[in-house]
Amino acid sequence: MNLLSVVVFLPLAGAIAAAFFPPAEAGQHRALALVVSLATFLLSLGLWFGFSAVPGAPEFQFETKVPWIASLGIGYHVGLDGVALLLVMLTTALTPIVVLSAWNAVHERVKEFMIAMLVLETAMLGTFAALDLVLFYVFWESVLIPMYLLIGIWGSDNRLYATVKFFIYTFVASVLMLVAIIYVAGHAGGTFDYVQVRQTLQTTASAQRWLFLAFAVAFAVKVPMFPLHTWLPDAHTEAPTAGSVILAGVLLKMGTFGFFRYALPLFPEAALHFRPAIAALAVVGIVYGALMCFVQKDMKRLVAYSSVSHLGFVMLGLMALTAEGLTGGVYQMLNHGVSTGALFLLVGMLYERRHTRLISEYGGIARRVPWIATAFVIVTLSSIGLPGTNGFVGEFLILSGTWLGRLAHATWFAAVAATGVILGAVYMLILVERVFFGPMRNAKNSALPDLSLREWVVLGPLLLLIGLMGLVPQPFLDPAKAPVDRLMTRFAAAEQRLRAQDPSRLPTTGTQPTPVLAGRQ
Amino acid sequence: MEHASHALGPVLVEHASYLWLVPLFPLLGALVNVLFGWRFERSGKKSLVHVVAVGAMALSFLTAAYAFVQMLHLPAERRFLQNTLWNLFSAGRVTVDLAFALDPLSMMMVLIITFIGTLIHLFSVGYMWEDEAKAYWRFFAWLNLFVFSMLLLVMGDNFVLMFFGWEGVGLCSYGLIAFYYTDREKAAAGMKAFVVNRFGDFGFLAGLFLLFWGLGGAWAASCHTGGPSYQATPGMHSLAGASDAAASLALAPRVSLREHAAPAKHGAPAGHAAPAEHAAPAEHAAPAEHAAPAEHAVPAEHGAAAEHGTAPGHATASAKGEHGVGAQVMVGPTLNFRELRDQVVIEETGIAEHLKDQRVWGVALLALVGIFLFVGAMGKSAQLPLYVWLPDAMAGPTPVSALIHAATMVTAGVYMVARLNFIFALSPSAMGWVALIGTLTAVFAASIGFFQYDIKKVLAYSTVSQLGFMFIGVGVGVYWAGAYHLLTHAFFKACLFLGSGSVILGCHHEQDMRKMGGLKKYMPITRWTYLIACWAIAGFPWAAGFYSKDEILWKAFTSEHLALFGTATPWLGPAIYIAGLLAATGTSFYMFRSYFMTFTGEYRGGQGHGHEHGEDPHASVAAPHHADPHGHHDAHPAPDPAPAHGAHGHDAHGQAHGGHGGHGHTPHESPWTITLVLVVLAAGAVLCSLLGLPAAWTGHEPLLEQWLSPALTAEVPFVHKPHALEFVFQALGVGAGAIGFVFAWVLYKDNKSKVPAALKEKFLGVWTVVYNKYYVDELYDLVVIRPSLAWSRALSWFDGHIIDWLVNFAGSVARGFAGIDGWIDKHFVDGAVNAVATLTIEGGRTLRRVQTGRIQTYLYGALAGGLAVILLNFLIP
Repeated sequence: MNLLSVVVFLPLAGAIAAAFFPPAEAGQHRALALVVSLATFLLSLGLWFGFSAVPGAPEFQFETKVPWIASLGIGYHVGLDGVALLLVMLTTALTPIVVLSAWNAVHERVKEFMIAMLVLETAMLGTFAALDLVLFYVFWESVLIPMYLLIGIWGSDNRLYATVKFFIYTFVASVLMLVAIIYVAGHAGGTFDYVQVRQTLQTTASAQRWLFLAFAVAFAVKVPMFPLHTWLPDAHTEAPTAGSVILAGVLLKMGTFGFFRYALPLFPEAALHFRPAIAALAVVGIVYGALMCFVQKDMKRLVAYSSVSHLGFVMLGLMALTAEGLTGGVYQMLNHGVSTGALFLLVGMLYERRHTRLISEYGGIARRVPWIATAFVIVTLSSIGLPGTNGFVGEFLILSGTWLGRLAHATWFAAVAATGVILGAVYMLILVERVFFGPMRNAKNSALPDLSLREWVVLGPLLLLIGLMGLVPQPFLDPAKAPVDRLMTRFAAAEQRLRAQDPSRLPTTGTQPTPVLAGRQ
Repeated sequence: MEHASHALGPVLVEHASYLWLVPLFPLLGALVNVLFGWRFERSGKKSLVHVVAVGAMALSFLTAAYAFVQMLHLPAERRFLQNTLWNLFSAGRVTVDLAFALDPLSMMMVLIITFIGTLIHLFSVGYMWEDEAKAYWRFFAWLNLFVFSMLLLVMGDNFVLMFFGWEGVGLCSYGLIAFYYTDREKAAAGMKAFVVNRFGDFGFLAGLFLLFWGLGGAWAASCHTGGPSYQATPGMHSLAGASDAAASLALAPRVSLREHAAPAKHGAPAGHAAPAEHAAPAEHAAPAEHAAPAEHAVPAEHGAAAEHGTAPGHATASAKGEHGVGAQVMVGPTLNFRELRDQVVIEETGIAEHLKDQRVWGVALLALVGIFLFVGAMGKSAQLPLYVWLPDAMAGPTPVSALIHAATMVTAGVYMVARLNFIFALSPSAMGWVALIGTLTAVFAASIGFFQYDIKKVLAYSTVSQLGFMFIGVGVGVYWAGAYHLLTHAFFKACLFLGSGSVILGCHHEQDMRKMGGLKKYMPITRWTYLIACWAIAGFPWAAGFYSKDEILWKAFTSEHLALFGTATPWLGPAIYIAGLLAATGTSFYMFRSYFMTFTGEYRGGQGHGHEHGEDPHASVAAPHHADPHGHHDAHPAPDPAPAHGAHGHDAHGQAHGGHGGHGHTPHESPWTITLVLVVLAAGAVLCSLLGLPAAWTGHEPLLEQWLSPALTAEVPFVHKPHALEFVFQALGVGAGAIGFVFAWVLYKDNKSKVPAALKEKFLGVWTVVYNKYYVDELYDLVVIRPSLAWSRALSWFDGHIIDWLVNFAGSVARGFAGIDGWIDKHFVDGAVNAVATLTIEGGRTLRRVQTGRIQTYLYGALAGGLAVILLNFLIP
């Protein structure tokens, strides 16, 4: 069994093992989940260091391919390219943090909670690792179940509405994708294998558009893109902290990853066709999400809407179809996982102390909890893309990639998106000011304890990553290079095909070429 | 433009592997204080905090001074020190190195920052020692971090590093303005500074991307110019798609230079222009003929071809080393200042001409680039309409106002325009706008300064106004004078701010000038240094402000090259001159007003605060007074010299008001750490004049102009006017200062005159409007803040009611169908199922009767069955 499969299924094995422990032993369940998720992370480091990002390295590494339902052309095929590797690392790194964050926050049905977390981890890892469309779909959908339970059982007051909304929203959209997957297999020689499908898929232009839409809607709901985003604030608000962190940190990335891995490379011509619309929605999402943040009274809701804005940046970067934009988009996925994950953790810590998420309940607590305030400010700075933090690298690459791209009106898209940078600073700093600065008004806050050792351990790695990814980003960018190049090449080929039909067509991917300067010589 | 006369070569790089130390020291200082500062403070070793901070600054200054000495020993054209550490990130064409560079311009900035920064750190020791925030370490950590960011800003070798610093200083400014964060108003002021600056940063980024985009030749595909038309070929994608920096670097076109005389002064070889035509025809004709797309060559090949075409022919032409034969200049998008400068400045690349022709969104590209970048400068350098944060920024401790909001950070915008002089000089419109906004700001802010009572507010508006002067300088194209005014301003304004800090400390945290007066008796050193600085800012000869301001105004008068909206406006230069002169008069007036109100007449403090206080809610930084002034002295026996300063100040304090700490008592002179700094700065404000003695006096270019000339290569066509006229204008400048002085003297000397009060009564309407800063903040609230909030609320309603309604509606529709479904299920499907069940049950019930237990019945049954079988046998063959 190869390392990747071990990493993917180790959490599930842990979950099965946990099933045999008595529910009353909450401590054992916590410890077990932590140990298993940490072991998964340590093993995944083997993936990180074993992965070769040098030019010419195989596209998918740690590959395993065995038949599963051979008669239908379905196989168990897993493997990682650089982007999937980054997201796998994000998942394995976040899970132990999340388990630790739920240490005291969850005290009912601890066994079930931890099992759900572990199952969720396997499902997420499988989504990124799968190289077979059916396998991908199975993992993709199986993420929903533990998440549904996390929100529905351990959530707050309005959790049933939120969890049903979350489930149905995403499930309905995904079913469209299932139909498309089956159609695709039918037109790719009866196989569901991603690598083969990518080579052999033959469809008409109009069929390709429908297929693209089916995939894109499933992914867009997950991202979530405006106007399919309304499940997110509800889900976030009602979810327990751990659920929010996983939801924001990893689940949303499944949508953008889906675009990068499936919707764009499988249907490049259709993607080119719908690209302006998607880019426009991304830009609307950036501004819309940011404006929504201004009027939120609930911290979690605010952070949820800020996710809509940030994921808009990711989508814009992907739609720019330039090396810079795609790389920036991938980087921003990681950034968002780290920064927004940390924000949700911090909000969760405040919630644990005061049992309210209302901004107006706080104010002036910086003097009482200076370290929470410091951590919150650092995460805020990362979230608003201050240079020196991870957020800047992503935003800068996305904006420059968009601006330099050849998408029609790219400069306008980039210019409007750049206002999101201003708005982001405004709402986040207002949040910081209202929660932490000014005089202490609420007597209930006068005895808040500052960060405990466990909370330091929870936040520390993320704060470290914020700095590291801001100052030494290249190691995190390197793995994305080959997948980005491959995608660009695919689109270049697609544009060639389109140009064969319509010679007057100008290229719309890649950056502008350098001017021809021979005239002066 | 007169480029032809001034052939420039590529910058010659001198590697200096120690440059990174300059910003490193303050960073380390900040780190040490962040990590250990609070422990120092708690364990009674508070002085370690400032030893670390000031020490870091001193080391940084010494390193910078070493670099300066090294630079002095280099010939003018080689004064470019560079130090690359590592590649930060690269993707596609964007590649960013962590690299530092010093040319004469940034060298000047670094010296200002580290020298004045060190002084202000020293000042802060005395000023912040007993601060009520009890966060000595936090203050110094922020201050060190600020200096680090500022050094990144000026030393960064590329736009991104500059932007690191650009945002970093904004962040530190935020942290320091909101230093007293428990005060809601001050926290809000910090936030305002950051947010307004973000608006500027948006401009910076937009300008940067536009420029990058322009260099990438976007016009060729999308715009309608006579430029080479672009057609796609397969090869192009490999260039466009390369995410590998090295690959795209290799593919990037280069232009080979023929023999080149970089330093203009060394004389360009005669044959210089001749070969230009040689290589041209082959490639040149290409774009026009290649309407048919397929054959069109890839740019990379073009670059190669160009190289090929030129290099051999001139292989032996030069003996000039690196920039001679075969030297290549990379053209195309770059974030690196040197690469940008080389390709724009060197004529042979043709980039400058290309850029000038380009239009985007229907506007000249370069004008737009210039204006967007200037929007960035507006934010950082507090120009109209983004100046609003600076007066509020006075909420921070006074040394912060001196360092950040006078000497360094706010000059970043001026520095940026000067750094990019070769870009701005290509667009008369951009220059026109910079100069115009600078002028408006200078006049506008000066007028607000007239009626303020808070001494720091006066200085804040004065700073805004002086920054306006700097922008007039860099706007009309006399870059060196803009930089010179930056330098002189750094000295005299830091001196003024620290003087005001000394006054505020001496008057027990009083900032209202109406409660001062007569301080010359109590604070002689502060008074003299303040007077000298006023002298300098008012533009009287022998103090530095005169030389820089007059050079700016004189050059403004002689500039006929400015334009607005692409239309030439030769009248703009003289108009700027007149407005500038007015602003200078105003400057002199309000500065001497502040001097007279503060230092002459009778001391008015200590008569109870109260009724007048309500007039200006921002007037005083409400600082509780030391509850136990001697407590700390006892607690810290202060073995080392630094706390002794604090203690010394405290002794004076104690003597002055006889032990009972309280307020409104006799003011006192500040401790020596403070007065020493004031004296040094005042001396600087005078001595700086030596750097800028005008050519009309000495016969040679001012020293600073000579020094800066390698960095400021843009040639600006000023109209030549006779020296005699220049003398007249200098006299006019002095006259303007004198008028302001006389008015201030008459109205405010000894604070006896009743005229100001009478005038105020008479023109109460005007006074109110100006006193309330023309209600600009209120306007912002009305025009920007409220609408965006309303808009957000509307969207929120939309989100909750429309989008979610749709979602819920879809849900209800589904439920409706499900309901119908359920009804059908219940009545038809289930009906059928139930019918079966009922049948079964009923059947069973009926059949049960068969189960009687009587053997006869069973036998009848068996008989009947047997009969049935037989019968069936016959019936079914």
